[in-house]
Amino acid sequence: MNFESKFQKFITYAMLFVSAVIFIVPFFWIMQTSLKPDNQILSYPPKLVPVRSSAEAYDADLKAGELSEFEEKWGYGVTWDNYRRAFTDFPFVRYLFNTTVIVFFTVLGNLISCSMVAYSFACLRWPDRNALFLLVMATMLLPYQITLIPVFILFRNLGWIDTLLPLVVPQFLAPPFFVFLLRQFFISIPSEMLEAGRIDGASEWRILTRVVLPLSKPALLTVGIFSAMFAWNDFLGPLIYLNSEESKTLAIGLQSMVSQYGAEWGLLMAAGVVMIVPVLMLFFFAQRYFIEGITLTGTKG
Amino acid sequence: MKVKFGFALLLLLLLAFVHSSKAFAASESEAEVKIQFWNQLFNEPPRTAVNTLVEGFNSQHPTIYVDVLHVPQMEQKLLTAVVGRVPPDVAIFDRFRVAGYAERGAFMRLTELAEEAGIQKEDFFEAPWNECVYKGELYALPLQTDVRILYYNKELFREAGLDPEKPPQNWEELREYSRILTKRDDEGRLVQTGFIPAFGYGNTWLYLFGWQKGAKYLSEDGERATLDDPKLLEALTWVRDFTAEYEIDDIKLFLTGGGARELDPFLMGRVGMIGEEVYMLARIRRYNPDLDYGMAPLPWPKDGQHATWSGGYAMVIPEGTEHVEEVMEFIDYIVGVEAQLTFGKVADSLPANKIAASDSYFTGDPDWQIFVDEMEYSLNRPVTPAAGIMWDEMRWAWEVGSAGTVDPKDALERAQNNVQFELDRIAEKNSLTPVKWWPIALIMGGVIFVLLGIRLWGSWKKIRKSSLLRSEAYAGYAFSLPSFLGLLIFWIGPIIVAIIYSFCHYDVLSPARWSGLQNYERLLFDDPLFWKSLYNTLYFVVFAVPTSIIGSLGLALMLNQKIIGRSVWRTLFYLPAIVPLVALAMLFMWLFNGQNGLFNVILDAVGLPKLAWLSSPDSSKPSLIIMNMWTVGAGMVIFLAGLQGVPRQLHESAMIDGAGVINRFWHVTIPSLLPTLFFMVIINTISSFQIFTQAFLVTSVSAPGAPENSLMFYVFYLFIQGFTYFNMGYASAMAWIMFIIVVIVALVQFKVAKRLGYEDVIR
Repeated sequence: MNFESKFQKFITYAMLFVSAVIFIVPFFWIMQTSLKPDNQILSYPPKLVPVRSSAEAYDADLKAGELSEFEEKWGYGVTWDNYRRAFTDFPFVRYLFNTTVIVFFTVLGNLISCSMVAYSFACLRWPDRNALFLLVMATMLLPYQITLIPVFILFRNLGWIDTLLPLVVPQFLAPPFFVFLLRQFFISIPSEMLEAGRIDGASEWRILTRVVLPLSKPALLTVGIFSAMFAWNDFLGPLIYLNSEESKTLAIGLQSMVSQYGAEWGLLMAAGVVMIVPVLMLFFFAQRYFIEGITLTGTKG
Repeated sequence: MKVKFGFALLLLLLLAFVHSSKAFAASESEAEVKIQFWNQLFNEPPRTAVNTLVEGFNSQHPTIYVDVLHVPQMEQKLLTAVVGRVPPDVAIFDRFRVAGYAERGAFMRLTELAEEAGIQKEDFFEAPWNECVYKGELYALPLQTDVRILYYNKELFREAGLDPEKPPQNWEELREYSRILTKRDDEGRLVQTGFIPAFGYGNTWLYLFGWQKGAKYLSEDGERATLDDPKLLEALTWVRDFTAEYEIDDIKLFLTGGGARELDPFLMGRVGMIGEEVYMLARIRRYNPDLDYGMAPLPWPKDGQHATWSGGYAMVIPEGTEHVEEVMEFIDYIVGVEAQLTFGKVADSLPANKIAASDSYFTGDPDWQIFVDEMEYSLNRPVTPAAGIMWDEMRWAWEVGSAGTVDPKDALERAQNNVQFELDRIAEKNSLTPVKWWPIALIMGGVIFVLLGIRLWGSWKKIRKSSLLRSEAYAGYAFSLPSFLGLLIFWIGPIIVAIIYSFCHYDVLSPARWSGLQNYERLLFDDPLFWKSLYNTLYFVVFAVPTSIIGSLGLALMLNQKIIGRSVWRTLFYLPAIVPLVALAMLFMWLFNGQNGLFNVILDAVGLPKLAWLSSPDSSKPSLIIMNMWTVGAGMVIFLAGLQGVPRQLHESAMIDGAGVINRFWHVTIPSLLPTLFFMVIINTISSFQIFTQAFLVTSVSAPGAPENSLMFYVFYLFIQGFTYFNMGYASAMAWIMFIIVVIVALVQFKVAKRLGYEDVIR
């Protein structure tokens, strides 16, 4: 190893370390804010070290003069009150339930419709295939806000405002992004396998469900995870279509919390942490598919 | 077995789904008539007060059950609900916006109903009642009222050598006292302020300062806006000169140091004088009873008049309820003396009902008495269907005019122009021809049908020739049906309909009417906010796309080397990218907080001046770009995959030729990465163009796009026009312009790619 490459290694690690700090510190800041009582959140300079297991204990020790100088200046008492309030002041379970229902049907709809369509684009030969594929791909480049208003009026005419239908039904009509993703995967399946099925007299549906889909589990998982994440994070759709408290999703619930408890940072940070945790968990359990999914769109693309 | 279980689970969820989409179905009561009641007052304590009233009514009326729902963002939600034909039976609504709904036929006329119930004008304060009357008809009944007065801190007065029993009487004294009360620390930072005109409840005080000068905002007949009133200009100019004595960013930083409840800057004794609403009194008593405060009428100019301002909420009946009689009984109860008294006490607000306000709870307490007295001088915002736009325009003029970023005269001229346009548009609506949908649907449907038919006929002839192909081809058509339907229903159809709407005046509540090129003319030649939103969006795209690409490429290059714990690093950098955008935006609002936000703490720790971040128009967009940088992990993973495709031999042979790191990067890595790079540029451009959620979240509902509309992005403005003002035609025209822009940008990018020899990269 020569000097140049050693130096390069050093620089790389140093930069990685700095970037990591940049990425982690906000998480840390948010966590510690969510664990502080209101009156300590805005005290300056900020108190950074949890030195007592409850806010009351801290206040009591402060009054009794039992805090060291360091503790008084930099320490705070941990409180779980913000988390308790995030669950009680806020119909979290209701929001979670609604979100889960939407996520479930979105994933279901996307998997069924997108694998059918992707199969017809990747494995079947028919005259208008390329034209339709091109059109569908073109819509991927268009921001969906262009159609926001006519689609809203369509759903209103159907009487679907304030139901979950406007968020779920379109997911059964093959969103282009996932069609594209699955098609990329299906193309790599050797056509001999399909031909063998056809010669055996299997219907195309049978080939899709018995040959192609079992071979595509990783791709399907990726699509499932991404569509779950998109549905979990969706904001504009629920904002427009859902009105009543009973039908709100987590994303909308969080936003109305911001307008409701504008300056109660501890509570807001706790609610934010609560909303992030399920996504992080999903990520840790299925990390491989996340990475594969992105890779699939990026490289073959 | 497994399949059956899955099926049962599916069925269960389906049931749950049907159940939850009929959200209101569950009932706790056996009552004969159930009334759905939406409450806009979701904050405490009014929330409890509303609940108390509802419980009181329900226990007195066993046959009626009022079901209360607390709804933030009612302005937008109620109209969507009325439009979607799922309105509540009764709602609490911001009074000054009632006329806009009444004009569009969304609220029921209450004139006769109120008369039958014996509810009369004489029993109510004038300002709140007047706000409910539009074109001589009653559309709402006032629930409560607020009124603005001057609170001041006697302790600080004494410290500064001012007489605590002599609050300022006129504008000149106000300004002088303010100067005396302002304190800075050694580094010149504000630690105590006298009076900040822009600080206090209700975003814009321009209405008030104008009234005190004697300005009017609407002509008698309601047809002309008069924001060009010279008296209003004088008021705004005065405020600008007043504010100019401070650095505007200093003030903003000072204010973000405040918090909720006991952390309010006035309660903490850091503000000498503040114009505030009724509820401040209760807050002082609850959170800082030791505060030595005084209350007085707001000072007015020597050449002006004693005036203050009342806003507040009212009960309305959205059109479409089946239980008018029961709803009126409920409203009659709410505006009656007993309920009004309860509400006032619990919610810390002044009853709109004068008889209730004359109770000793209010008149026996000198602090409350001043509110009752001031009601005599209290004015209300003009009752007009353009009230919502007038509010937004006044807020903008106030913001930019008082900060001095736009000359007050120009600001007011623009506000005048925009409000007048809305008034004209409403006035001329009925003279326009309604759109006949049948012929359009027939022609469009026919054209699509014929084109499709010809195409499919040709295809069918091809298929017929070969028997092997036939079954495969039929399956192909069948399997692609969802995509085809999706394309037709969610893209082609809506895009055609959007063109038609874009030539219409359309508020969804009444049929669309042809208005020719008016929307486009206005957008392109007469709507500065449209251009501003386009500028903001392009600004964001131009800075966010390169920064995020450089960031993600940088991380990818580092991780592409032989690194210990590569997947751990990768996870770490990728994590923020999966955080829901809403949560991310909310978390960053705190990180950008002026007082204890992470960024300012760091700036302060290294000895740099703190920034106002999201609350200053200069730094608000860069703040969002910084926030965007945090999500570069997704791009990093794509680049990592792309880097795997860079042939190793190329690097090695370049190394043998003696090419340095930089040379190899430019001549080996970049050329091999071009397809990925191109893909990233396109994807990032499109998604940056759609920026909405972050901006929506960090600006409040009453001040969308603030500060100074610097966060009013294109989609945000489209959303506001469509779903707050319900100018669906106008918003459709915006959608079309966006369509054209995106197509042009995409074509240019493809052209560039073709030049570079990568025409098939997207395939």
